[in-house]
Amino acid sequence: MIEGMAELTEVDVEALVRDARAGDRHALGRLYDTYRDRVARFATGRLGDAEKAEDVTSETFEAVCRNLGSYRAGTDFEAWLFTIAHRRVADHFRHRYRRQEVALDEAVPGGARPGALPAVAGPEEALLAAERRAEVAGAFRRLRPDQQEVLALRVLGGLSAAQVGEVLGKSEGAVRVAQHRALQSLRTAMGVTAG
Amino acid sequence: MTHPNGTGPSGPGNGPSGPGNEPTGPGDELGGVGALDLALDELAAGDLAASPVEGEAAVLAAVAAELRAAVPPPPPGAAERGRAAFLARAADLPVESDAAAEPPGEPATAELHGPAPAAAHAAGGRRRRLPVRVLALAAALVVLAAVPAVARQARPGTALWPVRQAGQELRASMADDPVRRAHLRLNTAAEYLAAGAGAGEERREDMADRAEELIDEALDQLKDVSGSRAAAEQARAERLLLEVRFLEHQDDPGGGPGSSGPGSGDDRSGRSGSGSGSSGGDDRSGGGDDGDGSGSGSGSGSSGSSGTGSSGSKTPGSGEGSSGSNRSGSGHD
Repeated sequence: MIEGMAELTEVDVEALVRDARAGDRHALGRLYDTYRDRVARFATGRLGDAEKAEDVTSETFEAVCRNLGSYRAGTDFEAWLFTIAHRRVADHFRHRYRRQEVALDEAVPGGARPGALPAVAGPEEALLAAERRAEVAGAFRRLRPDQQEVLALRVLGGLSAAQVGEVLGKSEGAVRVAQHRALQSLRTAMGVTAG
Repeated sequence: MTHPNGTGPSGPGNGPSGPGNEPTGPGDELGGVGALDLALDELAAGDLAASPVEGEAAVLAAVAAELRAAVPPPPPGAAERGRAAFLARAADLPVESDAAAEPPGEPATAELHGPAPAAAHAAGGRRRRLPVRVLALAAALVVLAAVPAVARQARPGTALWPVRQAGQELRASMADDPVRRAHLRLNTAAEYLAAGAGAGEERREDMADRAEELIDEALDQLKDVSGSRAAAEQARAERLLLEVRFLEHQDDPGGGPGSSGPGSGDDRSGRSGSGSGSSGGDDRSGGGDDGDGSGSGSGSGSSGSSGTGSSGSKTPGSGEGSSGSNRSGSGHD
């Protein structure tokens, strides 16, 4: 089971969705709590911009709320949710492109934000850790978009290979191979970055 | 950076370019793919250290862990604010009914397009969809207005002809008197004849058949009606019937241009058959004044042999110089 929702089984999720569809705000809140961080992380990884990732996360949950009626009980809710998030991210890329705002190296993912730094021993370690995260994030952004997509869903979104396949329209095996190669590329890119 | 399995991607022996970490063949890679997948499952569950994978899979899993650490979740404060805002907006958002159900992974079409900028959040989904609906409605209105307008010029056999035909049919069915209905049917028949003229044999016959059908319908409408307007339409119907006959036999060796082309005959007989001088140009029977291009009154006069009882002999060459008046048509068939 996935971090952040360890206490929820598929049956629980189904029940929450059913209640949320019936207008239960508490159930809606629990769905939000369960998946919000994963969606935000995925969006941050894909967009490389914490603020835009916040926008995408909000839009995703609004869309989930509006479209709960179209979710079919018994199917994979996480895959359904991340399909929406995935499309929202794609929409943002399209908008960026239209506005000619595309700047692939424009930002370091949310790790650069002071508030997001993990606890470390001292200022020097904090600085080194932040630098390292920036290197990793930079290496990630140099990957091909399809590799970024697979890793964002699998590693940052916390989906299983089968769920990633459902979102991207690929087989589970294809996703496994893709994630393996993407991580090899990332490792190489990180090595280059690190010099 | 601490890695869940105690090894960093750039650590000793496990570095990105360190020796002994590259797969040595396809079999190794396949094994590595499976092992890495397991390790990533553990990573997602937050317990990569529990993963038993070794070798390259462990290194790649550590790379994944670093990536995950480089993109941390948003701070709790942001999540709380987002939650409150979401629940506040959710109260106003319409939840779609089951009737609109779509397969998983296929959110509603509106979700595929039209992403809202951040500024539109406060407006909620309903407002964001409004312009799309307005645009769709406007587009539908334009199409509804434009198609009939364009179709007005359509000719038989063109894509928009069915639209025009439907309109004509509607007008005919709404006409309040049989003469008007007959008039409209004859207009359409004339369109078919015009479309058939000069066309290939098959199309010509098709056009002739359709025209004849309409002329028959028009004559049916007129059979119990008297008066000058009815007589005029009847005469026009008969002329068009002659054109039909001509169209059907256009390629026949004996077929002549008798009833084709503009004529100036003085056809006062107005009855069928009988070599009525066919389509005389001096068409006093009228009709065709509705702007729809009734197209009748064609025929280069004569076709000779009036009063023979044949429906206009089609003797070649009879058209020229004989477009004069035909006053002898008596209408006996």
